[in-house]
Amino acid sequence: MLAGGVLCALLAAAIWLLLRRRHDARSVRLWSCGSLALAAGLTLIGQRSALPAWVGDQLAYSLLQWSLVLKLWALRRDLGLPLRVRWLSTATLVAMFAFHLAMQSPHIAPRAVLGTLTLVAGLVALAWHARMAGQRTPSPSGAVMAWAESIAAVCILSCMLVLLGVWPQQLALPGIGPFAVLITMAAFCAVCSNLAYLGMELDRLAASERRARAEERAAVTGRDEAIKATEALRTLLAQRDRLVSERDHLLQVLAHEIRQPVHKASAALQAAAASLHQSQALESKVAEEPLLLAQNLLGNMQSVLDNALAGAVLLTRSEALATQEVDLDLLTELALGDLPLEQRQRVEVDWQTTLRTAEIEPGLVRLALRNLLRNAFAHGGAGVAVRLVLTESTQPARLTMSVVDSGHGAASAALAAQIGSQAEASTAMPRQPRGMGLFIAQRVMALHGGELQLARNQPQGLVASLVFCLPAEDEAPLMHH
Amino acid sequence: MNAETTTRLPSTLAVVDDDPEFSRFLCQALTASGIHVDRFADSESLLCSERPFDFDFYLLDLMLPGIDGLCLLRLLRNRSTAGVLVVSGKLGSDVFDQAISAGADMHLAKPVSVDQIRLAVAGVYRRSAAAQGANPAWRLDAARRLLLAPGGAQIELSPTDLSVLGCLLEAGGGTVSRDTLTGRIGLAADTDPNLLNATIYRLRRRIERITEQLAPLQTKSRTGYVFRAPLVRL
Repeated sequence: MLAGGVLCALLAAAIWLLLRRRHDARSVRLWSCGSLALAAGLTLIGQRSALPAWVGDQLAYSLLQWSLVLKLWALRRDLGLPLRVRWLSTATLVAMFAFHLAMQSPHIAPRAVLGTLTLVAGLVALAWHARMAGQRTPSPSGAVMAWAESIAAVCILSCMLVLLGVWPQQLALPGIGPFAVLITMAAFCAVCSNLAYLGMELDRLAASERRARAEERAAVTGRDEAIKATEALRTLLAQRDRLVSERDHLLQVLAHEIRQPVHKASAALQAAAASLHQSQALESKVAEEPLLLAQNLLGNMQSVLDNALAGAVLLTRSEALATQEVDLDLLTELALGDLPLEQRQRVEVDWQTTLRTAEIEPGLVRLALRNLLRNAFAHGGAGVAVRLVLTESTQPARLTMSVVDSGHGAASAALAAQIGSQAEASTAMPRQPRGMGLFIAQRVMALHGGELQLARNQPQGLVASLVFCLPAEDEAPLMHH
Repeated sequence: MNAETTTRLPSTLAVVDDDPEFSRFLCQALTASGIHVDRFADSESLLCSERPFDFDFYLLDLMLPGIDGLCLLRLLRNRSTAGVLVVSGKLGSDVFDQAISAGADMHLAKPVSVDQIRLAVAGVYRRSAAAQGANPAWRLDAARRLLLAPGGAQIELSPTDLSVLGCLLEAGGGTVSRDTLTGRIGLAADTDPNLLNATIYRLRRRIERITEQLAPLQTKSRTGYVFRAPLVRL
């Protein structure tokens, strides 16, 4: 009998030693304490004939009850269930008190029935939790523990029936006392239960290890895939860089090999026009008109080419725009100089500001202004009057360069919508030169932190304005004097 | 046009361009405007000429054989305050920035007409030190916080304006860096750079409102500011 108790105690110690650093420490402590209490209880019951009744029966019963409660708490903790400490403690104390009262009775029946039923209730609860824990882990040890606790419950019930004389003692186990059978079976079940708990925890550790390995494999796979993706990305980037380089080279070729001859042709035409203009011969006067037409056609071609190149190169920059202080009169003269002579002479420049300089990128603003002027003549129809108005406002501080035409211009709303759609798909260049010109103007203004504004000119025509933000004229307090 | 429309042109001008047809025609047109023009096919020709740094004005291409246009521009800037106009067909988002940073007064992208080049030459020359140097001096009256224009117009100055002009006066026509000016007017080094821009803009605007003359306070892109006219203290 003593051996069973000692074995239980040793197993409890083994569980604590093996699992205290591998599993939840508090669960392990609860289970080990429960097992120790069981070992002590079984030992006392085994020695009950040599012990006073309050030790051999009452203390042993209390130890058995508390062992069940402690194990129950351990399993509930593992299952993540609330421990219900107060409820279970109260129930156990009540049962102990009731057993104490039953011990006062001269008859064995009350204490046998009470002790058996409370212990069986505890064992059934333990078996149910063990089954749940086994399913949760999952581990077959849970079922083993459940069976062990159930068998222990059956043994206690059988012992009670023998003690109460319902079953004859010889029917149970001939020649052996009921307590001896009970203690032997209980010790056996306790050992099985402890081993099952250990097995269940080992299964849990094995499952954790499997999960960790699976995660490691997944991480390795993910890393390999990331390396492959990085390689693919590098290849794509190299390819992109090569394509960008080729594109830049082609653009340079376009800029130099096409614009340079155009530039030369333009210069030659200007020289020819100048010579003809100086000549008084009748043939010279006849030749001036087709020469002017050729100059205009060349100017249109230059304009389209400049817009295309600006859209492809100048306006796709990511770095900040470099600006320069520019005389506004020079800027307007340069923009007007981009127009054919006949159109240039029809533009009225209206200065409504004393502002003479502005910090801008003159090449881009000249391009934007040229586009607005060309647009005005393009959509304004024959005889259109075009004004270039320069105004300044203080609230907010703005410089506005407006191209106002009196022609039958497209509705400003439609144009604004056209610009909006182009801005969203900046790579999609409009096919119509007029649309391209407005798009370029809008991008130029965006780079300058300003905006392109379109409005109807009353009663007819269009007002296209380049609006630049200026610093406020009210001086901020910079120094302490 | 409301601004002063002076059509003064430089007396001497050097054209450095490897395009013979265009430069020949350009030289003819500029000569017809009364400018003495010398034509050079590359940088070396100019640098090996008799007095390479004595021209009133330079008109440069960027893509030149041998020493390229930007190098030539830097060389010229070290030795001359003459106006420099870059006329180039070189394409790129940074071409303008490179040219201005190297010291050009203006950049025109080809194709461009001769008339436009003439306008640009006149516009740049009007602002250049050579042209401004011939004018009477601007005077800074620190006691009364006034800037006196050559024509006699008086521009009232704020304490900040006075500090800026004092700094430019001490520079003697040289470029004052943004950092120096920032420290001089009491701004922290990490202050928004737009604050300094706004201060200079307000001062220039005040000058433009009072006088018909060009404000000689000019910006050197990403470098600093320069007062391109004689400036003396009263």
